[in-house]
Amino acid sequence: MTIRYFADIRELTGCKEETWTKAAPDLRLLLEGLAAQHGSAFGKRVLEGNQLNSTIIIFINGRDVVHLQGIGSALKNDDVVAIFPMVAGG
Amino acid sequence: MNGYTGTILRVNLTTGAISRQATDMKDAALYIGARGLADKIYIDEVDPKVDPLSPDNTMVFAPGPFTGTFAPSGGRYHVVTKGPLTDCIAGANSGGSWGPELHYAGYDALIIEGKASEPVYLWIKDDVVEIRKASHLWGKWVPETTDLVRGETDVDAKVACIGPAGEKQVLFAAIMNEMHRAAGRGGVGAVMGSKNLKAIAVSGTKAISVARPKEFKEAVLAGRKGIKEHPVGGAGLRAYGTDVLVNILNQIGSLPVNNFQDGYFPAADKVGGETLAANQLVRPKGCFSCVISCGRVSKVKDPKYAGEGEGPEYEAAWSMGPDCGIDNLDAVVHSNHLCNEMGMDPISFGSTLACAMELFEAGLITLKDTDGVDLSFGNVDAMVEMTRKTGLREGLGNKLALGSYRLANSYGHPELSMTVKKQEMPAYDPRGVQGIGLEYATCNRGGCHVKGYTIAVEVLGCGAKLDPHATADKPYWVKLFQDLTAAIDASGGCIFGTFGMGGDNYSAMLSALTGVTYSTEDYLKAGERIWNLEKLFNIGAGLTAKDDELPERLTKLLPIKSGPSKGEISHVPEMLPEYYKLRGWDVNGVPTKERLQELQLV
Repeated sequence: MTIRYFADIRELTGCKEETWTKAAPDLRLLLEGLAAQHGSAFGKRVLEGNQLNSTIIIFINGRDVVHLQGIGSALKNDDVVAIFPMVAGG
Repeated sequence: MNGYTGTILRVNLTTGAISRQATDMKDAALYIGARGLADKIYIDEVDPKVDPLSPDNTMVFAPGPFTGTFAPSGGRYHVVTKGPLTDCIAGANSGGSWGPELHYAGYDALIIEGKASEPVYLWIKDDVVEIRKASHLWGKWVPETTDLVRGETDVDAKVACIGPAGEKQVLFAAIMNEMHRAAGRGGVGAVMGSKNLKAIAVSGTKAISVARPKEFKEAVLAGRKGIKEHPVGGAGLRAYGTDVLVNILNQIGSLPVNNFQDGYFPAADKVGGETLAANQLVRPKGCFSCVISCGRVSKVKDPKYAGEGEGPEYEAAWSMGPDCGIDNLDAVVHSNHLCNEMGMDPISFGSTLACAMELFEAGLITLKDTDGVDLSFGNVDAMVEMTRKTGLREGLGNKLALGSYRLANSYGHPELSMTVKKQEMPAYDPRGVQGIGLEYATCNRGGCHVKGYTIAVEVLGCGAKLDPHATADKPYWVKLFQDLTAAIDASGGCIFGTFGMGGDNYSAMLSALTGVTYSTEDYLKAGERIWNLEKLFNIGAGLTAKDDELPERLTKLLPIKSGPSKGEISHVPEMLPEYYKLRGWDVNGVPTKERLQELQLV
């Protein structure tokens, strides 16, 4: 599974992209695994207790997880997960 | 007269007459100011069939009630005229400090009529207004012009001017104030050039009175707090600027590539806001009374493109980057600096170049046409060279200066122009984000994202989270954003304030400032009134429902080829009838008498 990080999330992970090979059948388990690897600052940035942090945007294969099953969205080994802070422009 | 100065300045460049008239306060209450009041003044006076580049066309510059106050990002002004690129209403909006200075000088609007017999500039110092000769400035680029005019007037004067692009009537020439801020779209700079008006310098010392100061202060502080505490307004835009959107649009497969031939660019990160922050950013910069600071002071160290200036915004990074198949951010920043210095809209320039690149790869534009320049997608040097040639109208640049609609038409392939109402669409692929396509199609000033920025709810999750691929409810959201934006533009505010403020904040500030009570509904109604007024002008100019369409490439011919939105197509034709219905327009997109009466437009 490919995990991509953007904006200030990169400062917490120290990388733009990584391959995740451990088991992660859904988004919650993936984020918990990533939090264990990248530390508590990353964990707090992406999770608020059992929920997704309201200030981040996560896409699985280009689809916002809000339009999938949220934090319970299922994952497959060949998925691309992109993690953004809430950003804007124009 | 709170929030207004009560005076409108009129300058006739043909006769040299300078006069003043009272601001119509009934119109001010209905149309607020800036975009709304300028629309009202302009549309009341000008035949919609006017040739935009003739002396019969006029220009109206107007600050809004907020402009010059400490309302959040309350420093904007609007320029209204008929656009030479689009042949319909052109309203261009800019920040910086020029708008506040015009308001401090004592004017709710500045009307420019006629055409000077030789190059001139205007010097406004409170009540003293002079038309000065500018032959010695003609041909000079924006930074030098600004410095020279300040030297001849007042070192602290605020200067709005045109560069060579405006002088040579590049149809998407911009008006630049304080060197780097742009009233950018629709060719307002070309209209200024057609009048031989090189610059307008302003210095003002008057105060803007406030009806209910304590209430205004409380409303303003609540608004500023809302923005600062919002993750976008408070930190995100300051850190990465608007160019941070490159990656997010690419990750959903809606970053137009190679003249909208695709929606995914594998090298997008190389031109994104993160890369800009790491390599070219000198510091963030804000406009007058801004709490966001999305502006980028930028510097390129590579000797080939070395220089310092401002930008790029997301739109420019896209238009001269992925839309031309280019991933060299140093070159894009350099070309953005050139656009600013020559006074040229980088969205229309980049998209027109992308169209030319497609014509070149199809063998329609030849090496003879380009003076030997290989115009293939991805050619960085060609992009930089064509930027300069377009601003100066040299070689093929003379054709690019007409915009992609006229360019593609001249080669017999109008379908390759990615425009609506002859204006180039911005950086969100409407095949992957449905609502923004409807905004492009219906925007009164032609293909534009900023007058109905549904990306906020379709992609960014600000205020709501809508599925970008769905069409349900999108006409409602497009209308809502268009009406709210019209009201914010008319107030003299910045739409980025909506990352932290809602219509209730804006209406509360406006009520306390002017003493005229606006509910949130009243505020939106004023925006709707402005939208319909502009629509009526466009109908008078000869536009029809045929002008509310996207290029067939996006609705029929070419689904996105790769990436997360592969196979998607725009559904604007299906959404348009519902949009017309919500607006109270008939099936041909003409406002009904009943809706016009409701909006006090008849």
